Amino acid sequence: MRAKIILTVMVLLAIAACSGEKPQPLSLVTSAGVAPYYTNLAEARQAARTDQYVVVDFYTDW
Amino acid sequence: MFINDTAIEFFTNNMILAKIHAEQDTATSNRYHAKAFPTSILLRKSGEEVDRLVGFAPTQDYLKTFVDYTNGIGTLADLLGKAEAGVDRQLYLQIADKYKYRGQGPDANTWYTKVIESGDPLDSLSGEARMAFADFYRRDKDYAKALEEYQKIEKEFTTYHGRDAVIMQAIVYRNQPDTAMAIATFERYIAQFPESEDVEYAKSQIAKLKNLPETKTE
Repeated sequence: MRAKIILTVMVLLAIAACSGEKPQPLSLVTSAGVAPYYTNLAEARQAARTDQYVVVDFYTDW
Repeated sequence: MFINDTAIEFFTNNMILAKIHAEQDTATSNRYHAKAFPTSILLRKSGEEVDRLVGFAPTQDYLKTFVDYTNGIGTLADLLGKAEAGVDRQLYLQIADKYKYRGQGPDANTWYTKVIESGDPLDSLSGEARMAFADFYRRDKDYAKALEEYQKIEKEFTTYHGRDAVIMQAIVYRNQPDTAMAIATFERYIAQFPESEDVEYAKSQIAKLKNLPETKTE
């Protein structure tokens, strides 16, 4: 039974890996009517092209 | 939150936008010395800072500032180059502010001192420089030095800087925290400057410090 579960998980992971779809960055926020933004700077920098700039906006709840 | 169409298009097609809660992601805010809010910093992909904008700005001005920065316009390096052309105290003040917001205290002080020494030490620009100097200590939580500076400004300046230095002393006491002195100083501010637009702010601060519900004004 345990072997079956492990095999199923492995197959699913293999399918996901072969699908070619890049996983959506966890911190990317997109919603209609709002400029897309990241809440994690490392992910934002990773998303930038080599010659592309990143604007990081620091804020507080004050 | 950018809900303006131009900004949406800009951050969809040109630059990547990151919004960081400075108190939650302290590692990032400390790394970039983001102490005044909002602060927006233009970075290269490597993480190197190009320049920053502190405070609120209309969306068009905000976007233009960053486009200009990518072209080397208005950056610290640009301003330092212009300062070589001759005495320009307003420019010196801009340079000092840039250093201040980057957390480069000694460089900021050098340029604030130039503002003061290259003109009337008690005029408006010198007042701006002195206040910025004191603000630097306050933001770095060096409250004793901040208070000393604000107290000197209050004594020496008859302009609005002298008035502002009083309310800033109250804010420093509040942050220390020295509640009794904060309340007393806010009350002194109200008594001395009853016509000031900051009177309502001072009243609300006193109410909070006394742990009373804020009084609503008509």
